[in-house]
Amino acid sequence: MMTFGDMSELSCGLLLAYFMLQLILVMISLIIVVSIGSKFFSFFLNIVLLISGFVFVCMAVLTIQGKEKGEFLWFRRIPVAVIFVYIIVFACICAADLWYLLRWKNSHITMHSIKESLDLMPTGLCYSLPGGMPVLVNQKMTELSVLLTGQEVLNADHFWEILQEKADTEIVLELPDGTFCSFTRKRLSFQNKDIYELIASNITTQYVLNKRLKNDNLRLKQMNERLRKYNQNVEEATREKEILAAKVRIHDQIGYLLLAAKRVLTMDSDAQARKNLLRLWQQDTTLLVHNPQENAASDSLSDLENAACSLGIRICYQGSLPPDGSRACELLPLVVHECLTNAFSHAQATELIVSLGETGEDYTIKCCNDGEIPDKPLVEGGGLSNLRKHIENGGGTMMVSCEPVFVLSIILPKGSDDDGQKI
Amino acid sequence: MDRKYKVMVVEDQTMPRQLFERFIRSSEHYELAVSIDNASIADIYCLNQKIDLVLMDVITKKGVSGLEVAERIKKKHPHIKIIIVTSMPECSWIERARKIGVESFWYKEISDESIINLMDRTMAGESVYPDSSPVVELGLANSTDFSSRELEVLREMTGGYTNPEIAEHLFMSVASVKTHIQNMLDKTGFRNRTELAVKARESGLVILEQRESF
Repeated sequence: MMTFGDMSELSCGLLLAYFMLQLILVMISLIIVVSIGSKFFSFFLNIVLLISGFVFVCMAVLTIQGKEKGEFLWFRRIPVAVIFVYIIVFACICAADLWYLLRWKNSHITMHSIKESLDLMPTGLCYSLPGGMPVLVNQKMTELSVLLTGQEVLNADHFWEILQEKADTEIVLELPDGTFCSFTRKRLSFQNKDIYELIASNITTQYVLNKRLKNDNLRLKQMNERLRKYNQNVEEATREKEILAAKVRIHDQIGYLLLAAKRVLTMDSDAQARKNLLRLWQQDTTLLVHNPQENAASDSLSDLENAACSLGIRICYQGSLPPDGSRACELLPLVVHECLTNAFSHAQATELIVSLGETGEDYTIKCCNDGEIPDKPLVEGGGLSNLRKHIENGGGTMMVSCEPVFVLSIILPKGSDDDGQKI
Repeated sequence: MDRKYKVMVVEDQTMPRQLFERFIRSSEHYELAVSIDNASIADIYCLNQKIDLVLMDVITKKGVSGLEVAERIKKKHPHIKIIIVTSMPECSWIERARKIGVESFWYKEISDESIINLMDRTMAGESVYPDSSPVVELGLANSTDFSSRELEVLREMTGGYTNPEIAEHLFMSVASVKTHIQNMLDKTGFRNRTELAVKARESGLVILEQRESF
């Protein structure tokens, strides 16, 4: 039977080279086992394989080297068939173990697989313990940290403070490459322990679109404001148009009058015809010479005073008018209007007293009249209830009392109004 | 007729107001009771002036709506006859005037009939309304090409309101507002909503009245 000592040196060398390859596979298996961390049997098996393989290689090398001296005779007498059986069994165990380990690794989540997958994410992630100790930082977050602070995340709390210093309310930073990154941090609870999660998301598209939307909205707001002003001014333009149309009519009328005047002057006409013609001329020239500009001083309150005069009622104001543009100034004519109609219709009054005052935060309006006192409980009709609606919409309050005299009291908040003007 | 009808003129423009006054004074059937430029006080004059007829402009001094005041007068003094006079082709006013119970409606510049004739017919018990509001061109479209809902949206647009505000005012969704605006842009050929709103307001097709009196 052929023994190991009968093999040529070349055959021994080839056998050992092949066996070395198997040892490398064993070492790979061992690395995988260590990385998985929980496969004790595989770890033990691979250690045994590695030691026995190492011993076999050492014995084989020493036997080849001591061939001439006659050392390690017992190893030289081992039959070649036994050595081959050992190598085949070794290879089978090694291959089966490696296959098992790879299969297990591909079908199970491990610490390393988690880290590996997080590193592939486009979002930056950093998990840290209270105090800032990083537990898990993915590749993207490391890159961002290096970009923003010049170093990796060594302390997550410190990194978060730096981010907060760089941004205002929401942490959105523009990176040197022109992209925008949003950072958010929240506290999680894991196995009854606090852990902080810091997420960095690339929001370049959303940020640019949002910025564009904000600009568009601002432009729209300005445009709408201009439209509001235009809507107010267009009334003036309409007036001008109406005046022009009226002037055209008068112009036509004057053309007719010129013809009529020529006829009266060139032909015999009686005194009545001349008188009629004169009257028509007077009417048309009056229209033309009259200044069409409105009297600026005639405002709503003076209009009301004129209307009150026609009813035989005098409106007496006491105190300062609320400033122009204030809610109280807008509502005052409405209040006086309602009190005036009531003073005439229900009290036959001759004087309406409107007392205007102000406290620190409010304007007060009090209306009473010198007419008859209501003989039955007052029921708020359409006018008063409509007035109440306007007052309450303006944030004010309205009270009506009939004893001893009818008094309508209104309180309106000042808001940001200016000082009033004396009547 | 044993006495002249007493007429109140409510018109904020001096010249048209004087023209109305002149027509009334030169008429045998009418006398001028009062002539004012602010519609908000018109109902006060109705309390003791024994007014028979009111010539009421729609948009008067400080933007006060003549239609709103006409409604108030009709509620308190249903016997007073009212003629709405306007130069604006705003499409909703005729319908609104009918609803209020206004007797007649007269377009200042385009009506064939004179105002005195209209006053006579109104006082004789007739209700005289134009068949429709004047047709106005708006870009590539005519005013008749728009639906009533589109005109409501257009009216709000002239006030400078945003789509959500328009949706809230008209009780519709923002998507519906957008659809109406897009339809109107398609019809008129205008480039954007601002151009549409400005042209619509200039033409007088839609006029947004004040939301509160005074």
